[in-house]
Amino acid sequence: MASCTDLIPFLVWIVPIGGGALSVLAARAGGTARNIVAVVASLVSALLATSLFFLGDFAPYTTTGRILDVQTLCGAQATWIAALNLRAGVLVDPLTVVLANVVAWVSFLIMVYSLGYMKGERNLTRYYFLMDFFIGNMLLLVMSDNFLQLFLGWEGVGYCSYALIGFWHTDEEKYWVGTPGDQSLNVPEAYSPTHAGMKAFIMTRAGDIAFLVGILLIFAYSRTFNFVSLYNQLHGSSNNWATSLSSVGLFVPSAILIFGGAIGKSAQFPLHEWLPDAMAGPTSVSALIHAATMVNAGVFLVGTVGPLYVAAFSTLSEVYPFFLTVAAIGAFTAFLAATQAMVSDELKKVLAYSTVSQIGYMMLGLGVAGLSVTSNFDFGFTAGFFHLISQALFKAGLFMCAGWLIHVTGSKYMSEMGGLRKDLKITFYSMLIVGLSLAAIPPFSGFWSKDSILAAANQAGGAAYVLFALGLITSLITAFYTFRMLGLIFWGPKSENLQRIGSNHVGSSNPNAQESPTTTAAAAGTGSEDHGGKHGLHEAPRSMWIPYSILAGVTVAIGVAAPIFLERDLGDLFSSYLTYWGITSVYSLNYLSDLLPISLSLALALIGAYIGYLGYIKRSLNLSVLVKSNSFLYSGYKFFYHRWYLNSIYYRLFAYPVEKGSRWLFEKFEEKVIDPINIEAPSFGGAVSSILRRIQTGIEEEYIFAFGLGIALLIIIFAYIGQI
Amino acid sequence: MVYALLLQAIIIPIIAAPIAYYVARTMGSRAAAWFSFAVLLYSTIALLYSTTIGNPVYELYPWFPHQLSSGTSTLSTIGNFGLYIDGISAPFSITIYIICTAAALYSLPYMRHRISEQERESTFATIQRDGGTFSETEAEQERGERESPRLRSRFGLYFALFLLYSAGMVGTVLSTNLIELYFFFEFMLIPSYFLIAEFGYGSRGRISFMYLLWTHIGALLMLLSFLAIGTVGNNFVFLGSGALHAPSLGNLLPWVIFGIVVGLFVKLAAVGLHIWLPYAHAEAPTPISALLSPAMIGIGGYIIIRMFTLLLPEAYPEIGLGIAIWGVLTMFYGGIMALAQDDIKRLFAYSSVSQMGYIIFGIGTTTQHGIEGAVFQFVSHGTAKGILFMVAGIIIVQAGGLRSIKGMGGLSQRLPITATCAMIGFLGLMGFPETNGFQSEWLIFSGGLQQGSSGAGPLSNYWLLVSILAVISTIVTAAYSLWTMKRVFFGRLPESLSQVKEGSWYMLAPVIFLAAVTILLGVLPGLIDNYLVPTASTLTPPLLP
Repeated sequence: MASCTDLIPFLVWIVPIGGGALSVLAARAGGTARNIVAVVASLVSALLATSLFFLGDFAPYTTTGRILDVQTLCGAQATWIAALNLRAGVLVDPLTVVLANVVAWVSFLIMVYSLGYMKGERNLTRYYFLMDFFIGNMLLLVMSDNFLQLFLGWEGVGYCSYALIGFWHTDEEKYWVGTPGDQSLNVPEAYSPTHAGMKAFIMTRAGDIAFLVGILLIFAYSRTFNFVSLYNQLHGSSNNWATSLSSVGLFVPSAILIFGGAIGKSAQFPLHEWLPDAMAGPTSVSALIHAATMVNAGVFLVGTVGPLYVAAFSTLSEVYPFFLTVAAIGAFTAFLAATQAMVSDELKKVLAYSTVSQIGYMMLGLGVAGLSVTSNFDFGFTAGFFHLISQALFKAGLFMCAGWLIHVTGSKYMSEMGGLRKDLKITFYSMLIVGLSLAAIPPFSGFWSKDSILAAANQAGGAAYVLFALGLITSLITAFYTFRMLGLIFWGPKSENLQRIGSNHVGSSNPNAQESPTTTAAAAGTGSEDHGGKHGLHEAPRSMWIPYSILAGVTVAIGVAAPIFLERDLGDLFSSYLTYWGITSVYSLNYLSDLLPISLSLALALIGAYIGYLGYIKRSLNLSVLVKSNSFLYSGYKFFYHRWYLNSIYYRLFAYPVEKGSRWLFEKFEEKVIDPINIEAPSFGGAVSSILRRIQTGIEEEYIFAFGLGIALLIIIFAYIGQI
Repeated sequence: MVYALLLQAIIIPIIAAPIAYYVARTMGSRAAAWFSFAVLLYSTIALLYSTTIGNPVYELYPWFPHQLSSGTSTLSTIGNFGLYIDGISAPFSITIYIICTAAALYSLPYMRHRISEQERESTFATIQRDGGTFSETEAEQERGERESPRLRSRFGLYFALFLLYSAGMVGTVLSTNLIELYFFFEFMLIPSYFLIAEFGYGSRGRISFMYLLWTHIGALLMLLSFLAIGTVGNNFVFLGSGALHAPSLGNLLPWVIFGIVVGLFVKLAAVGLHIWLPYAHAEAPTPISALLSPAMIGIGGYIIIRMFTLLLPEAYPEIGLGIAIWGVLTMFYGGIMALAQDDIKRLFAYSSVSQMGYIIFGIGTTTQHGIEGAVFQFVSHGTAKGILFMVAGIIIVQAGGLRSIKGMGGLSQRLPITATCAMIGFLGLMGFPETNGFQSEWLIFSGGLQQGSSGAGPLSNYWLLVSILAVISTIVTAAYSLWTMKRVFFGRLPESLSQVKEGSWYMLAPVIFLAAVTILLGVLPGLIDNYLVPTASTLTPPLLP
């Protein structure tokens, strides 16, 4: 590649990072210049990502499934840490480029959405810088050709997540997530933005250090971080990093440690608790980072290392524990989070739980892929990633709709909405489409992607049947909570909150006035100062509704195209891609032979949807009365509402003991045991000196007497020694 | 020996020290600050330039070449005065001078604040009697006009000591001779003692004396070991031509190693020997804290690396494991102590204890990666902690001496630049990628895990456990870093701080510069690695690759 086209895959992630920095400079010329720079950087990056499908240098790779490791800049070798023989590089292959496109385009739509959503906020320079910086790091993560560079992007997105969750760092109560006063096991369950950001950072960090240990263990034998080199080493000799690690019993541990990184980033059990509280950030951030892109990084990671592990051994038994772990954690998390989404009243939290749950499905897909490698690795792999793509699209759409709803109603609670389908037509239809996709109702994209995961679990058989069953139950719950959410927002009578807004013609001009009931009431009492807008329940500005209606349209388009050609083509592309990783199973979705799992799951989803319909759309079934009247149901409700008490247990187990323990150790050990040495040592010296000082009497006679005594003693000693 | 660059880098600040005093007396504090800055900048550039000449660069000067006694006497000579810069000493010495250079400018507004504060304290009675107010003198100080001769001489003293201190630190790192090393080691102690005793906070007399005693006792232990090595090996030169190599110390070896390890662990503030550090670093004037903590204490690590490669004929996994465990204990202990602090400077002091644990751990791994990581960690910690202490100083100056974290909050609204730099500093501490902290930490952990995955018997399993614990300790670092960030810069701004403004550029520019270096080295670690790795890979004894 003599020309400089080899720069393009690098520029895909460099442009947004550079654009972010440039937007800070552009801010000097005013807010508009800054916004334009930030959004254009994101658009350029998306266009560059798409060009990888068409440019002659890359199309042969991206469209046929071959892997291109670009390690040159304008033909010159790209070095990074020359002394350690580490090179910078990007991978161009179907997996990276498909994901890069999803990331870049969804990011661009959300950047456009931000123009409207964040309008009038303060500190927007910081916001746009971090958003662009995030996009660049996410693309770096996706396109890296080695672990170390991937880790850079990995932590980079983690930092942006932390900083953007805590964007409103003044921590006023209206920005809090959770209902103030809520607590379980004496642990408060409402958090300020900076608290939530810190929680997210530290919790994902726990996964990240596992990840780092995992890659360094591999590095200890392979001496490389590069994926392609790692793969080539497997075939270079039978004594390679995988067999060496296996011989000291560290192969599966290292694989699971790397998966630990995925667990943290993708909010899987047991490190899932940070994501619901991450909703304290602006909704555009939730859409971008905590729904569409960053949280999927863990799935991407499993998809990157999974084929390597499969290629490492000829027998399945070596890698089986790893894939079983992935699948089991995925299925369990899908169920765990779905139960919590059923009972939450905060709109964004429902969506957050559902993100955790959907990512669980993806993990299930990738996990079951490895349970019967020869028969259906390609199938599970494709299903997992297809669901990643479709979830990224519809979940981003859901969040963007939610952002507008929260803004226009001035409340983050669904119970303070209701009956909005006439007032907000565009938002209603968009959210209905993406919602049905989440509920996996055909023909929307979510149906095809999720059901192929369930079909893959069914095909894998064996232990996977249990996971398949768990996945089926979760589809029922998913459909139920989706209809509950849609029903609470768009059907039924308008809540008191909305009636007040309607009658006063007071909308919130601040899109971020997510107020708790108490402050809403206070605001109502003091008039409309907080809600300075003149309009009532009005439709979103164009910069906001266009992005989410586009996503709704894409969801429909994918849903229509999936059964005709899209799903099969994607499967064939990934299938040939995996051939280059030495995995030669055949992509095998067949709508007829997989009819059983698909129809089972659809039936359950329809049952869930019907219950939701009765309870929240037709409102002929009063579920809240039913739950409260039954002590068993009510304790279940509380159990789910308090997140299975896991959140509180973590605080009691880790946060509080460390905080209290550090103070205890400081007060009882450092100050009581170590510190006194400093005080005691000099005072010991002082005591010795005060004794010795007594003989310094200053009286001549005594000195002469002591002198004589000393002479006499010396003579005796010498005489004694002399005798010997 | 082109232009005697290394000698210049050390001698010029020493010669300039009395001149700085004179400049301060005649031309005032600002001139003295710029003068010190220029001197240190020149020395920094001299060192940087010398690294481009070659690796290593070696200068030798006649010092004590004559035989002490004739005949069969054991001790023939102390040897020559050499200066040696290679991939190991360059990152240490250059980092020290860079931080010193930045701190020289930073000192100007800070010491104005501090010295006038001290003057007020000492003349409190006088002023009260005369019915005067403080603000007159302070306003004068702010403008830097018409400083009284007394103030000027205080500044003169400060900058003279500052230059001597800087030169002492770099001299230690460039030494090639055990006696020369000891000479410089004490040479950096004395000025720093006076800096704390004269300009420190709290009971500065007692604390500076404690600092002097602890490090002096450590140095004496080290000296005993040096004398043993020199007399047995009949040579005090440990680097460069005619250097000792693995002197056969026999039964003395464990004692010599004990002396060196314990003596220098006092300097490194390994847990158990750390107690002087929180006092000294918290109560020193802040620019000096920014030298003590990032620059000085890590020198202990440098000497240990040199001594181990000198003394031990082969890799030292058993001793190494012990050291690594000590390192991990230090990481956790320092980190947990930092969580419990309310005084921001004391918090950073404990965080330094914790960070020294990483250097100790890296040395303990006895692998190339571990040693490289330990050296790199000195640089990373230097920039990060340099930033953080300077940030603490900015808050102290701008918020009227405020040090208690309880009294802070929401300061990022008033100090956005400072807050951004503090964030970068904390990210560096946490070993966050895209800052240099990660580039050092992954090397250190890689070294440990290499030992841990070698599958060589039970020792390997211990290594695995210890290494994983070391990695886990980064969570503690993240916890105190983010929590401090939250308590200082986020949340509600107290009424009392609503008028706080960003400090002068004398303070901000050095911090921004160090923040830029932090990120630059995080993205392009090759700037250090490409110089460091070739040296580390040729160390004797040969280490695991």
